[in-house]
Amino acid sequence: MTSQARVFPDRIFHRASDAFSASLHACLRGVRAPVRVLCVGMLGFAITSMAGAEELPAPSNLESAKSDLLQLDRTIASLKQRLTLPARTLLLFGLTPQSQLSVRSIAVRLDGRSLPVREYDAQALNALLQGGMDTLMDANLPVGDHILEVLVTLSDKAPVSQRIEFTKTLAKDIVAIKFKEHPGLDEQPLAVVEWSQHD
Amino acid sequence: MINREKSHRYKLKQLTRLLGIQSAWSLTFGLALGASLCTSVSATPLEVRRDAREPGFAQVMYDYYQNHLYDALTTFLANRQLAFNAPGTGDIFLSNLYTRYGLPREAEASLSRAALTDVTSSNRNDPWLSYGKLLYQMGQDSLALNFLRDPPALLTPKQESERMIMVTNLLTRTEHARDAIESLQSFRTPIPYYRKLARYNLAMSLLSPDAVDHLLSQPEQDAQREEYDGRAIRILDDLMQDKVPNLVMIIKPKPVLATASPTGNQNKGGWLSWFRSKSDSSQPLGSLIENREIGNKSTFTVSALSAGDVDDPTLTPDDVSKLNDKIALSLAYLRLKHHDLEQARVALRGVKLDSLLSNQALLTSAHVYYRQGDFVRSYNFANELSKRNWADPLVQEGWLLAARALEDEHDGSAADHYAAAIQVYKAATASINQFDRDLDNLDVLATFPVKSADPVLLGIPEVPAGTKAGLWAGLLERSEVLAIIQQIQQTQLLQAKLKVYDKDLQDLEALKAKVNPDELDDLKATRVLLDKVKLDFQKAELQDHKALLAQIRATLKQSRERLDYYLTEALLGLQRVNGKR
Repeated sequence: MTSQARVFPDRIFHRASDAFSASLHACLRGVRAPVRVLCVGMLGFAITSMAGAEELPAPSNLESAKSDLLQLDRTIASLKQRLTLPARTLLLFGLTPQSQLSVRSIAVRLDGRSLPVREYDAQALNALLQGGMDTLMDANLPVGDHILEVLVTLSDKAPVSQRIEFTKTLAKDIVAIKFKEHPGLDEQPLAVVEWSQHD
Repeated sequence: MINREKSHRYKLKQLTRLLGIQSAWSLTFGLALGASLCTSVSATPLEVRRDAREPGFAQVMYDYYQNHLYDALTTFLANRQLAFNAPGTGDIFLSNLYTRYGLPREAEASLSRAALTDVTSSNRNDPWLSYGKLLYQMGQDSLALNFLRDPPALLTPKQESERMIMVTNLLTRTEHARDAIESLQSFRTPIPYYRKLARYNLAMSLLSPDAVDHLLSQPEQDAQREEYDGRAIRILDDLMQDKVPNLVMIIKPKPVLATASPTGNQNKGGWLSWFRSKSDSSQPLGSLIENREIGNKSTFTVSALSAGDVDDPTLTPDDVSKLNDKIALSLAYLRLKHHDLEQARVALRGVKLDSLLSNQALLTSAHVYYRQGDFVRSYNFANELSKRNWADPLVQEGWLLAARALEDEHDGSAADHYAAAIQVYKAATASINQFDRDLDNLDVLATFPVKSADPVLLGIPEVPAGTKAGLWAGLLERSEVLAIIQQIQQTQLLQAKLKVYDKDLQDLEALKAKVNPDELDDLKATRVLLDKVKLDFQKAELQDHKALLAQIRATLKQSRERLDYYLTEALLGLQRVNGKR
């Protein structure tokens, strides 16, 4: 297996020109010019086409190392969680399905502590609209009562702010703030969902 | 009431603290929060769910749609619960990420896991085709052929066209041109560009040496060769005039029979008529595409029934123009082979002057005129060519042909042209020699800086500006050189990731005193793995550098040999011209 596994999606049909150059050579083989100079171009083609015939040192095969790198990522993440995040809470932010909200940023305070403000450019907003969830925090949070103060700014609407009191029930969990575009009656636009998290 | 009061006091305290913070954003936050606090807020009940696949997949999607593909892959792998995604969509998605990362074995395993699951064609087919492309581009011809010959159902017209082009290219490449011809002859796609490309490839396959039946006697083979050449010329001629076979209506809806059904229902256009037409479509038909099941909402369905063309918005005018140039140039070569110089010249007019193939077109035109004895026109074309980048071998040959045309025209300036050509060849040789010497100090990553932070998404390396641009441009046209440069760039990004992992591991190792023996063992094993990967990348770096230099030097050697040849010819020409004087 060769190691030249890089993908050039936009060049895929340059390989299709195999047929082109092969046929060119086929055509040129039939062309025998009356003067020597006319054969020079053919020589050029022939030399180029023979380039692969020479035995040259092969590039490395990175497949195994690349696979090991993924393994490292998983192992280190797992060790990190076991050793440093015994009460891990992953705080996410996302939109409800089919949402068309134009979110610009989200600022969150958790128990009075400010988390880094998350700004969303066009690409990040698209990722949210496609169902993606952004990570706001990945840290230890003790089981018990907590207060989230959230401010969401939007491009075309007034900012939305909400204070959410919640109780963390599981030692390791995922908490997501979900922005509902059309909240029901007596519903707040921001809702919190909790999932249990495994190692 | 007391609680509420407490809560309000807390809010005010927060607000005061907020207002005390210097940043403008904090001020906005504080004011907005303050405003909202005046109106509402009660505690939000927490909704608890067990299935953590939703947030896991949502995190992957967030990375994926931001083009952070490496992060998407690692996040996916970190969320083990996604592996139990019943419909197989997760496996298909994972296969796609593995393919783009460049791990074909893992990609295939994920695809296989998803094979027996119920995955929609829109989710399945793109990753399926991407994996096929990966095998195709890695030069694993037999694997790629076997894979691509067994397509899933409901490929879109574009996917089916790409698959077909790859399959027939593979067949031609593996000396099965006759099979390629057979497939291409019956191939119809509703996308006009691919219809044209398929016809062009059919012409190219007909020209392949393997197209002729080698079991025939020599005279019969010659006759077949002539016939195939004639067919190729006719196809290319038609393509030059944009004559592409129309898409015929491949599914003919049968009229609903007026006779009563056994149940006595007429069912005119009712659900049974749909059932009948579906049954008809599943009957085996001649063409590959006709054998495909037709699904709802597919662009193919609409097109197949209406026999209409389907636009492919991903195609640019440049793609169409490049294909037209190739068609024109191929036809010209074919005409030239059959000594039909006039028609060759006509065909060459179809190549755009600013296209990538224009140097070939100019040189061929100069050759055609030369062979027709029209030395003045031959000189004009060769001279036009010689004004272009001399690093291109075609331009170098143009210098020689221009001088030769002048010589045969008995033009007094022939000697000067030969002398100029000699200077060009000497300068080119000197430049190549200098380039070769400089290679020892080549810093690949400084010459081709990495412009992406994601090891999965690497663009095509740009030709570096400066005096060596011409030489680099020629080198980058070779896929071997390009692939190694990209691999070096990817290694650089992977090493950057490795540094981050190393730092994280050091932080964890610092906790050694607090961890239990099992965790200590895990830490040690991780360190061993990290050191191994580090060493692997270092070795790969050296090996790739060596391979790159070898590829470049092999190309330079060929260039030198060609220049030596041109130089000899030019010196001989100069001698002849001076002798005649």
